[in-house]
Amino acid sequence: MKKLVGLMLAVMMALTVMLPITAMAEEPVTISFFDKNSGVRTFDDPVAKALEERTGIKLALESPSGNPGEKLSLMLAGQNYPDIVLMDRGSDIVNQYIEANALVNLSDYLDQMPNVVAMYGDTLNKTRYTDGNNYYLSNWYGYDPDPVTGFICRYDYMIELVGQERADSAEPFRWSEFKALLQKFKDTNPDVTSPLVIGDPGSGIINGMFAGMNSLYPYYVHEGKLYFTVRDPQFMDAIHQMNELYREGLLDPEWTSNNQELRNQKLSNNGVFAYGGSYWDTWTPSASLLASQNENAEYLAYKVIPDDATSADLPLSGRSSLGWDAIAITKNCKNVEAAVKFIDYCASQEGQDLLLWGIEGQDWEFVNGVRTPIGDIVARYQADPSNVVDQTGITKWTWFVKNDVHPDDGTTCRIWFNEKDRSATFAYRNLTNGYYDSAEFANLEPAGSTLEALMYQGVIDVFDQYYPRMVNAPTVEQCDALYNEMVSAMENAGMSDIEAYMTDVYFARLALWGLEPVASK
Amino acid sequence: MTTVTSDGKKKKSLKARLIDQKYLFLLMIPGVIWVLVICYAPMTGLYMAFTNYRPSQNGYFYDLFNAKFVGLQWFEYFFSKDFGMIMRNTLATSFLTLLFSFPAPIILAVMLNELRSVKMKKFIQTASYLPYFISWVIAANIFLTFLSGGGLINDLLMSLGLIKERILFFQHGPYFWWIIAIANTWKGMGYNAIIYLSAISGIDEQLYEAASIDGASRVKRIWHITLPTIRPTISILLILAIGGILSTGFEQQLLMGNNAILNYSDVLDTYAYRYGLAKGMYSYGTAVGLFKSIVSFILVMSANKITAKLNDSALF
Repeated sequence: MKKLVGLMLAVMMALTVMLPITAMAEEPVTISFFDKNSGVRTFDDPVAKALEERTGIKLALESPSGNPGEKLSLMLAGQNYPDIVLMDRGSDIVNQYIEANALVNLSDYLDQMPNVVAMYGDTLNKTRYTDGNNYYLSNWYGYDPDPVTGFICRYDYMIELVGQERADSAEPFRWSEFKALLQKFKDTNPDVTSPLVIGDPGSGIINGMFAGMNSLYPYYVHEGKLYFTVRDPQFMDAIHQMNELYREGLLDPEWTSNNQELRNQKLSNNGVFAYGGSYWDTWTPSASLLASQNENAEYLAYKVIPDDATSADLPLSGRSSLGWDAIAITKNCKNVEAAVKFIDYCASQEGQDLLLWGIEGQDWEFVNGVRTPIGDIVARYQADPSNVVDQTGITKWTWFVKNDVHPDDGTTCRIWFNEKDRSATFAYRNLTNGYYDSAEFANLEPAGSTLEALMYQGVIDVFDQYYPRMVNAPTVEQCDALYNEMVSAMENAGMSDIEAYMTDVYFARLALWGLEPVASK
Repeated sequence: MTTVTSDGKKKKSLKARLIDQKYLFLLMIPGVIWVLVICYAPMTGLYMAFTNYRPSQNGYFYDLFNAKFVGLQWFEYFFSKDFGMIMRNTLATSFLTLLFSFPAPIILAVMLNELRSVKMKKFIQTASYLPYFISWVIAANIFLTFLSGGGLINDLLMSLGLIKERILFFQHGPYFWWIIAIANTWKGMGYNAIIYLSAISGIDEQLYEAASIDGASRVKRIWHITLPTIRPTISILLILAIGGILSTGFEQQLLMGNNAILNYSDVLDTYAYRYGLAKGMYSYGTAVGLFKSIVSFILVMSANKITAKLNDSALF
């Protein structure tokens, strides 16, 4: 009896010990993922579940609470970053992570990522670090067919000012023609203070349309050297153009202090003729105007080119084919093979279709070999985009996105863009060839805790302070005097040293990519 | 071993007292550990200000103590470049804030104390206390909207005929200092008034009754009884306010400022944040933060000393 009890106990003990092992063997691998764009979204929608099922990997999503850049910086300082991080590619945080040796060298794993190699192609060459290795993969890479910036004008006002035919025409406006329209709008509405509203320029650059109309690139490349744009002979043409608008009361005088709420508030009222910026910035005010005013009270995109432009195909702003974000595996990742497998699936065409079109057979299907949305899913999205995205999971997780059309059927990479509304139709028609690839200028600045990085930031701070002051100067003479003051202050902050540093980085990059400068003057 | 104290009682030795109070000491341990871990241990990070800290894969402490020692390099850079502008903005905003926000809660508390209607008193107290709970994100948007070119304040001034052209409050640097001072006062006045109200509630009612019998008016009772009695509280809050003179705010500047007035809105905290966290220049950000802490410490000690001499009451 004793033996029997002893045997039973031994069996029970053995089972108890083995149970967790069995359970562990069945439990999927968990990968932690910090996505700077995820906001307050939860990873529990149909697409998220399908992604976990198909990869066999459970994702622990870490969302940023507060400023994602700050969170990434703190995680780097404390070395407590998760397995995968998605960060802003345009910011120097990527180089900080690479220099801190915090990222896994993906070049060693490319043979395990056939889909990545096939989908990314030459982009992998261009995202190599100075040591020749790939430490991250781009998100939203490739030449995006979606247009960007232009002058987004109130369609009903445009019809009043130029007539229906011209308002519907795809022919670009010349600058003097457009300025006359602003003036005419102001003359017919004397109480209006801001016929043209423009967006926040960001740091270290001037507003895109004015830079584009004056052929200004992020940096001025001249005779084998790279300089800050302020050295470009055409820089002051752009500033004078803006200053003239400001002095004539055609530019919103509060253009530097508009946050998104204030800007939308202004655009939703009847005192604005045009907005200078991305065409999607006006979607919220347009929805409000269409509901409260008339069927034509909507902002639609128009292209404005310089008076002396010889072609309408003039690129007016820059957009990097290397994408908005960088996604990398960190050295804290305990199961790099699993992370690599997950990434390769997401980057594949099947993975992209799951993330951006949804579940086949449920959200879309092939009809005569063409991807076709099922039912009224696109109509529901157009009526209530954020809720439909949250519920379906389609385009909720935008990872490893390739800006392209499907090679087999020519449909767009996102299901929602397969049917365009009036705003998108105008933008796609009027803003064609509207931007150049700015990839070669991205991330040239010195990063991290170095004196060069400090000096660079000092130079940018000077520029950021003087740019609005030059535009808002009461006379051209004062505008020019401020320019001279600014250049002198930038020199004092170490501009020439930084230009020498960035020239080396720039030309080393071009050599690595095997390219010639795209914008040398 | 025991000693005899001045009042003739026998005093136990330190060891005996420690043994007697061992349970109290045991209870104290978590608190002591908390202070050491949360308050003092992170101070080791201040060493970063004297090094060129670069994170790697070797662990935080390894990187910190093996970083290249650069002495006062970051301090020298700060003093040679942006120190003047940043200190001017910090001090200007602070002094203006102090000018409004220090007397405002005293006046509010005294006025509330004099109110006869309990309902009105409660209403004003709640209404003035509410802004303290509003986040700066919302408060900043309220100020940005009210003070915008087409905002409520401009509309009001125009309709009263006080101005002919709309004022662009957020385009003029010096205006920004006043806006921050007013915003800080609006937000903190109700909260600080509660501290004064609690001090006022401790005043013996007999003092007021005696003064009334002697024919003292309401103003005289405030001047001769209320204010002198709450003087220690005023002193302590003044010391704390002076100590925090370099902490003039962070979120409000970040949310309400813009590039056109950056040379007026950038203060020590936003500057350290922009460089230290946003740009990943940890050592430089720490150096700026350490400078602020040292100056704040000197200011608190000086204010405490001066207050002790003038009032016979001090914080420590």
